Amino acid sequence: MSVEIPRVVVPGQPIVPEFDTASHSADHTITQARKYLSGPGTTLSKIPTGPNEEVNAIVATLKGKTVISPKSKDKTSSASKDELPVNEFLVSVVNHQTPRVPLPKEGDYVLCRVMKLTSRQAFVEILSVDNQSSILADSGVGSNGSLGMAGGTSLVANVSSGSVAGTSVFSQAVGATNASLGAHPADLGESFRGLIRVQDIRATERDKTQVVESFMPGDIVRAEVINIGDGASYYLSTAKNELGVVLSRSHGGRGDMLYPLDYETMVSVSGHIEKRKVAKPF
Amino acid sequence: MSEEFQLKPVSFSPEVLARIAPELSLQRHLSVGVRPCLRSFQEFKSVQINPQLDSINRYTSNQGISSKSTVLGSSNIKCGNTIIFCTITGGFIETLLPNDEADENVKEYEKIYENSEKQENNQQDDSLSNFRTVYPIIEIERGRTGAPTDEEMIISQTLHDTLLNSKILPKESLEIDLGLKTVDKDNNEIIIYPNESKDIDSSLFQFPRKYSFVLYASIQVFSRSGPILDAAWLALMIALKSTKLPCVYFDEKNSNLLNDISSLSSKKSVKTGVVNAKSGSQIICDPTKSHDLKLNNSDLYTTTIGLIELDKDFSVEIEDVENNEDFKALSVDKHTRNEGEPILLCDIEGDAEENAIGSRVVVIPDINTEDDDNLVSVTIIGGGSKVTKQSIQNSIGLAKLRSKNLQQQS
Amino acid sequence: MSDRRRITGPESALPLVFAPTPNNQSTTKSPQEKTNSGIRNFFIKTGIVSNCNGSCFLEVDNTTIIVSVYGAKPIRGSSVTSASFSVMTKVSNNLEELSNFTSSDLSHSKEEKEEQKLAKEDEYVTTNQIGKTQLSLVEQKLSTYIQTAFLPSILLEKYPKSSIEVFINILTNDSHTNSSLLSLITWCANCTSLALVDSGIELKDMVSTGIAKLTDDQTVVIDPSYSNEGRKTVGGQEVRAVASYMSVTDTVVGLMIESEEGVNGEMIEKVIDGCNTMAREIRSNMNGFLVSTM
Repeated sequence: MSVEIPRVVVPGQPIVPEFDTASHSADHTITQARKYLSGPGTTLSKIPTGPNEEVNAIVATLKGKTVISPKSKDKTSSASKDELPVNEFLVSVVNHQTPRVPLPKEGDYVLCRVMKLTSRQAFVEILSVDNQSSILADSGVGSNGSLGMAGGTSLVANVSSGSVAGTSVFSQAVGATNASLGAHPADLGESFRGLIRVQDIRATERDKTQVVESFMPGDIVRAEVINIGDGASYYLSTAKNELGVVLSRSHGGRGDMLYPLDYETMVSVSGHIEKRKVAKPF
Repeated sequence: MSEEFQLKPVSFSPEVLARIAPELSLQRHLSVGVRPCLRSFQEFKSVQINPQLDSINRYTSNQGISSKSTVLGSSNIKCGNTIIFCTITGGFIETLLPNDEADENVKEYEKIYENSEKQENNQQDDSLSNFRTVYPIIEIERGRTGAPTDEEMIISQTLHDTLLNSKILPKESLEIDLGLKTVDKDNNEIIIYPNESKDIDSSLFQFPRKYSFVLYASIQVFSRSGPILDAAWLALMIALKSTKLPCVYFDEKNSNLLNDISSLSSKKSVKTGVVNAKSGSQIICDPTKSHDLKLNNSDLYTTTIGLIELDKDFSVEIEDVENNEDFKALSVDKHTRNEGEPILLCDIEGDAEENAIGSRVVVIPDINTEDDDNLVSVTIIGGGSKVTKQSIQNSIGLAKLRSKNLQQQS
Repeated sequence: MSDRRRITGPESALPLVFAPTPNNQSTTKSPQEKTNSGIRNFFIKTGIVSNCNGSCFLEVDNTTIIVSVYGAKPIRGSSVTSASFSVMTKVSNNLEELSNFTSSDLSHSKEEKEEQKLAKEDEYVTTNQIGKTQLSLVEQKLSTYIQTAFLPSILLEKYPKSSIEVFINILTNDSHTNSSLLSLITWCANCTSLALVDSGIELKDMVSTGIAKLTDDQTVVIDPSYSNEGRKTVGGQEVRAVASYMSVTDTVVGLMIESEEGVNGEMIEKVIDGCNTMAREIRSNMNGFLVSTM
């Protein structure tokens, strides 16, 4: 007996039981067993079906539409003559109206902004995952009283200070930065921190790389999450061709836009050249 | 590399680009004549003024909760997507000089003082000490707790200062004419106010001290999407226009010598903000009688205009767009200004705009006077694109239009 | 100690004291008509706050609440494998009456309570919570209740190293008598539920909340409204409760019971059943609303 699968679900609503049977023959004999796996937007939990009974079921955790897709399975491996073939299906709930809250996981490509450099690593602030949506709903712009004034960044000068809460790198007036240090109230626009170690910057010649020839404060870098890390920061790597600096300005952020020339050089419109670990543009 | 070399940055989704490179994002939009928020350059956000919050006003509501409310005025506006609630509450304070007639010596002194002052300046009436302001506290919800952010502090201070300097609230509006609660000949309690009727003996209303009101404003902002000074000021103005001040009387019955002193020393707990006022206080507000708060010119509205120069390096050429009808409908202002002049953007909204626009002009024009060029306040902030004379003039023009528009709406 | 970050006005300013309204003049709005199920009509709108992840606006009678959910947001400095969840309630500055009545609910001695109740008949209302920096008692209680009730329903393991924060803003409230705290909790909890769904955070189940009252004559009234009751005289066996459920598994996740006199097991059962009925009704309402917005 197969269960009717709801098309639109709300959180907490059971979609299908974990195991179910299906019939493909005309006389309704059971020909197939199904196992449902929980995908994004669902979870497996126990649902009470009677006074003392409980059944494992796939339950929706989001509001959205159900999507059931078969997972390819080697049918010959488990089936003996007496057993029913078990097909696996992945159940997920999708909602295109509400953007999913993106959190970086291992293997994700993220966009981040370089905050600080040392000789061994680059400290970055993660801005978005997979180029889809920004992590923070509210970036905190304007909260520290600066008007977002265009002009040179003073991040180079403030290398030792660490965090600059939430305002865009390309528009930091020195005065505003200084005003926001020190007694700034609880962080607004606080974002995940990441760390790119010098040995993770490039795939080749790893011992000869210099951090300062690969990144500059203010650069926007595409990187891959290699490890979720501890509470302090994620561990990132740019050791692939398509990873590295994507947006940058010359002279520490005060000058013109830089454009990629080759894997280790960027050039500005005026011909000024700077070294970076450049991402291959697609 | 065998691929053709392109001097093009990689592409990002618009939302992400607005976060990581706001200037780039804004320039690209502007070069085709649109804004990230899809309004035209000189289009303001639509403003809805909702009277719903009237239900919490003490004296104007026809709903049940007014009997316990301490709110004297309120407003509820929606500016684009941003929602602002403003409530006005009050306190009272003793004014410094004792009542004239009470003290002969003071009267003498004042005569002398008056004469000498009259010779000094004729603008006595106009000096700032004759006006009052409101004490605003603004709270912008942004998902954080803790002390007020810089932005909140700056806006509170700006509202406070601008209100004072625009001379909207004369001090006479806040002065309290004390009534009296006493017993009449049948031994019933009655409350009488001066000027209520002719046969009341005005000598009854001699009180040892004079009082006036102090007004507080509490402004809450939800769904902030850009600088909110304009909207906060509008909410405050509308709330003030709706404010009713209570009639205040002096309760004879509760007259204990001790009460006088103790009520002046009510302690205000800073943490919880609750004042431990004794109910034996003598200055009581009438539960049902009130009068309007008199304002001078209250049709003042502030307008913030952002200035940004188009940077040719970032311009985007899209051939098909030029002929696309829909696109033409959006891009209104592409060719209507001179080269080299910055673009004027009204009602800055969104990450890209707010980060990238460094120069702003904030204007409060006076639209109620004959003189067309009367301005109450102009603030020019530079540092981004250059601020030209033409752009200042245009900004003032836009501000006047906007003010007239809002005047009709409210 | 002055607060230098806020403009608090002159130090020597005193609060306004309003005399109580004479009875013949006080107009109380007649309570809203209830639907057949016994619950008042309420208006909901989700997604109204654009700078957060999810939000909901709820209006019932004179009470209006906005709940915004921020999350999952990064938090620094703590090595955690699942998200932290926090709730912060804010009552609008002008609603001082809430704190006025709460002190009577929280005083412990019976004599004190009686005295305060009688004093309230003749109540002078005072103002001014300008510049308060600490949560009032109502706010604390509400926040604690909401956090305890919703914690089991959120799949925190899916959001490591982050925090989910709920901000409840009570804009207006109808608080005539005691126990409007329970009513406030009910509607805040329902509003929070919808805001969490709107935010896209994965939830094991939705939490719905009901409120009920067991009257002297042992009848259960769900969604009791108080505007026409005036003050209850002291005495009388009235039990009021608010209970929150994760509907699919019928698990109670939050419970608060109030009574002037003592209660026994039977009374608690009855009043909780009433809450359950209302919670179910509200849950089906919420389901219908959510499906219609898809």
